[in-house]
Amino acid sequence: MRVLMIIPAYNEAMNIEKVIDDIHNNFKEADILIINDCSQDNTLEVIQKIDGIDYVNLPVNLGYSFAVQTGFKYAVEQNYDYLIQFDGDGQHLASEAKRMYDYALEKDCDVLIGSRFLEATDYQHSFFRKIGTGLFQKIIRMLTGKKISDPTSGLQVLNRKVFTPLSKINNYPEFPDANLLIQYIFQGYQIEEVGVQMKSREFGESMHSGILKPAKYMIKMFYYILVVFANHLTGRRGQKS
Amino acid sequence: MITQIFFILLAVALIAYIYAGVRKNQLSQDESIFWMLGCLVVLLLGIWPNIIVFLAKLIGIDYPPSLLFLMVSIFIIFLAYRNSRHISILNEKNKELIQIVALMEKRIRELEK
Repeated sequence: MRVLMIIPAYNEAMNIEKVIDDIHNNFKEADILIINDCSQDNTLEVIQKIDGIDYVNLPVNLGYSFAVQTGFKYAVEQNYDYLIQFDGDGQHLASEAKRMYDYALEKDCDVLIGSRFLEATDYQHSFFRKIGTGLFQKIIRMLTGKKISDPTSGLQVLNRKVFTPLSKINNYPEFPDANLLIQYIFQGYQIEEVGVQMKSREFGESMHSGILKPAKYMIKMFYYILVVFANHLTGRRGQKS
Repeated sequence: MITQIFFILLAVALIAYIYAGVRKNQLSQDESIFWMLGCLVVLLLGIWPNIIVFLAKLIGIDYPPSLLFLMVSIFIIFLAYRNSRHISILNEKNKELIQIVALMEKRIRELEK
């Protein structure tokens, strides 16, 4: 079994080195691919200084989800069995990722979500985040009958069956959160959650900061979910494989 | 009579303008079809303005010019929608290219090592 950690990095010069050290120390069997999403700071130089690290350098900024999709393409190309989405900002812990990977192998699940809400953690949530999470939990439960406690978690383990179709054109949304989870459930993938510890970020700004951005995100997400549901009702599989 | 000539000339000028775009490869033949159709409608209405009166009566619109405005709005909205669709497709293809270029760059970098 080969496992790849994909780490999208946009302006993470301050965090990325620590993240890599953490993985090297606590999750040795995982290969690492950093996707530098055309950072404005010296993220690229920092990555280049780290020995023996695989990285992809996007020539223009594509945004979080399409940077992640680049990693999917690489994982397909290199025949990886499992893939772990891991943030480059230091929020995620390699030890937790390793625990999740072992769990995914043991339970043979297709999608494993690292949840901040299954157990009490010291992770700090903003007000909007809390409302949003609660709302999306309810929507997922309403549409699929499944309980997902952390629909916005960026720490996920996917197996090849899941990420191969997602790597293809038109198959990956701009915001891959609750909408994608609902799609997974409709497609019959085995989804599970494990509780994980996460840290609040040390440097730099979250991509969901401010008031306008979360509002836009909510509207888009509602719409995406509606489309996923409509596709399900009309019998269109969410993706071509 | 003079208005008729004016609108016919206008239509001919528009057709020439769009054709020039196609000739210089600034507008693809496929894209130009819709604009040409629009010009043709202007030309036909220039020659026989009463078409609009006839059509308005047929559908039951009391004030014929409002039918003209309706037609123009539908035409423009349709073209705008079509553009929007094309932009989406282009965005997706563009993203795909960028991702593949980045992956190939990694490959080249490793081959050159």
